Amino acid sequence: MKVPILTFWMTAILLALLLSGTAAAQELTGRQIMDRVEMQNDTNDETSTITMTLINREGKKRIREILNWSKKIDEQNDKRFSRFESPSDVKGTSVLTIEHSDTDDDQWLYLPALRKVRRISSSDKTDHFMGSDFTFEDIQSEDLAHFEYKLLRTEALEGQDTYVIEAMPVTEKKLKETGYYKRQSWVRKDNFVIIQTKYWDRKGEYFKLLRAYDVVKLTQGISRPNRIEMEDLKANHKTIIEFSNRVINAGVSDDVFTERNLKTLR
Amino acid sequence: MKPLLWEVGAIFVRKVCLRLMVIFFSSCLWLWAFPGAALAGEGPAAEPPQREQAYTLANVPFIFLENLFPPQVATPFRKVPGFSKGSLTYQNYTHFGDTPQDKRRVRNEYLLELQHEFKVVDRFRLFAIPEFYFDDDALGKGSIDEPSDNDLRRNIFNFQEFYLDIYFNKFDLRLGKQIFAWGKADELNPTDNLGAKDQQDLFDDRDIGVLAARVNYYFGDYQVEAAIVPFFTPTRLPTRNSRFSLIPAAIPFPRKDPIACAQVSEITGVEYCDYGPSLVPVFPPSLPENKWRNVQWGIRVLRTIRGWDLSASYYDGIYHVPVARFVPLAPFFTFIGIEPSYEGVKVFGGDFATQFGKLGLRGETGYFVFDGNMDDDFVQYVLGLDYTFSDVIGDDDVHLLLQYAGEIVAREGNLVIPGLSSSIGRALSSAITMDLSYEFSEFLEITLDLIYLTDSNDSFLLRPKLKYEHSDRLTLTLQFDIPQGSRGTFFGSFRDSRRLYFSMKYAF
Repeated sequence: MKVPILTFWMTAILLALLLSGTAAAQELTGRQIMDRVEMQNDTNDETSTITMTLINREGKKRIREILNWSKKIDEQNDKRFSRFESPSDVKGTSVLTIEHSDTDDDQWLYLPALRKVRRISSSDKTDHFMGSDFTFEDIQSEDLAHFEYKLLRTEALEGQDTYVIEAMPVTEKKLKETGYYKRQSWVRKDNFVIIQTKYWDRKGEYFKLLRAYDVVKLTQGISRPNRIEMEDLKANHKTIIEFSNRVINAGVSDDVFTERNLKTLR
Repeated sequence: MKPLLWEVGAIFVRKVCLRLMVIFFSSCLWLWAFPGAALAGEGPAAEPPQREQAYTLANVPFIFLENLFPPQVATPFRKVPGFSKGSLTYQNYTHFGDTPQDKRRVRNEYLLELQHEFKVVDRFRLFAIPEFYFDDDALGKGSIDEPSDNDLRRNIFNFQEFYLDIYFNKFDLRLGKQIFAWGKADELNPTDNLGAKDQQDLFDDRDIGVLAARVNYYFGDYQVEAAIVPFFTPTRLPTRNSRFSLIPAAIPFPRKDPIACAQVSEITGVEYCDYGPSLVPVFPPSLPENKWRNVQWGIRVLRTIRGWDLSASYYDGIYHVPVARFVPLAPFFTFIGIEPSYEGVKVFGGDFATQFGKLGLRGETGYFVFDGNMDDDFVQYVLGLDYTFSDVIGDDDVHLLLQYAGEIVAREGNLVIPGLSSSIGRALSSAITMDLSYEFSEFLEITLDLIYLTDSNDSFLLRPKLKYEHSDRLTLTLQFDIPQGSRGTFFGSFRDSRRLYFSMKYAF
């Protein structure tokens, strides 16, 4: 039996419309994409060596090498330990941070020149981390409940298919403490790693740009960039962070995160 | 009399310009020997290529300085096994006035510090900081040649620290020459009594390492630290002919003081106030003998409870600053002299630190109970806060540290001559200290330090400081030390020692 040509085309168009409708229904929402992004950070523990290069407006560079350890305390909080390896005048300086949900984080600093462990005061979310262009807000894991995430579009960036997500603070707490009016992040579709973020300040001016390069797969479901650049376009200042010796979920001992470890170089 | 500015100018030309010329010619030599060394940075090359170091006329002096210390300077030291880090520092102290005992206004110092760490075997680590010190004012002399560092002057060659660490599961053991830093306050630490200080330069004191055995034991949330120091190391006081000298060759006898008269009559057996000489010689301090009863020890227990770091401590040993006492003057026992001597002391101490958001609070106290009845028993305490004001101008922060140091005398001693311990160890018996620092940028920081003695109304030490980190290797510091006050006050007595301090530190 012959199918009339008109009926064939009508059926094909209907099917195409139906299929495209199904595909749209399967497209992830902004929040769902960010859930997947946060899963990237959901490790029990992590160690790495970072080389942080600070470049100012005159092109002057300062380079720091830092050994890092971190371990999850609970869903909300981590403990972190960092030790400076270079430059030589700060070599041996160590920082221990224990996060708390209900109170201020505990933070201690060991300065080898003073031979003292000192408790240091908490930082605002908008304070800069170790003199870099990253703020504490940038480096801490994100509590998704405080933001509204909108999927703006999908587009190719650096040869990768990405989701473009806009994040705006919505809760009173976050509106008060954040340094940003909004952010737009480019999330790779294949591994949910953010490879670019643009930041708007509280006045609504675009001022900061983050780019991530050399994304590598560490374990099943977890990929990370080996190089991150953050540029403050207003201050004309840039920070480059390069990771090496990165190991995750290797079972870092709790003994790392102690005052004892701050002042000994075992 | 020549105007002060003329004097300072002349000193500057004589002492500083000559050295700058040496620096200039040395730089030229380095540039010739290592062309391009100024442009070569240490560490991994980093992006981005579109930004390059801008070399302007203002950078020229720094290029010379960088070339004074090119990376190659560190090469021989890096080859020494266990080399960890090092620094080479030049310091210049230019005083604006003479003192009766010291006409030298300028002092230049050169300090080479090297840090070595050797992992002997697993759990054993050897740590050493050898240092080489030179100056043109005879503050340094000789080299370390006995267990305790109790020479009147610094050593040209010394070990700042030299110890062996042994790590066990529950405790760590440290044996050797080491620096102690107990207490959470700044400027004054009533609980920090195991170590000693070099106060030859009163405005720039340094820690002295002492030979000790220290154990840190960890159980649960507690940490117990105990230490034993077998040989006594005193505070190194300014030498008698220096501008900070605190021990005169002789002092007038207080004839009108009946307690002094009675004390001396008891020693000499004569009515001294009627017949004795009016000027009494002052001998150099006599050190306690190295005997078991003079062994010093201390213990402290530390714990963190709900965001509060707490500790309690006890020290049983010798007070590091001497008190002056009358002694008969052999062979004429009817005459007397003054001999500064070191008293036994027990110190019960404690400290705390906590924070509320960006406000940090800290405190420290020590109750000093002296053996015998010469010196006062007293409680020293320090209460302080720190706060960081973020993004004051642009992204730049201002950090404030404010403290009050006070003292309560629990029992008055029989000391009739103002003791040295009163002038140094207890100088901050009622004082406000402030440290205000402002980071202009990641390279430039300005600091204002103030110590104000509230019990003398007008006595203070003001220290504005500018620190410029030209690179990760080279740091320049310029500082004024301005002691002020009437002559009878602690800082007022050093008014002639106002000065400009300049340092250049190369770290490698």
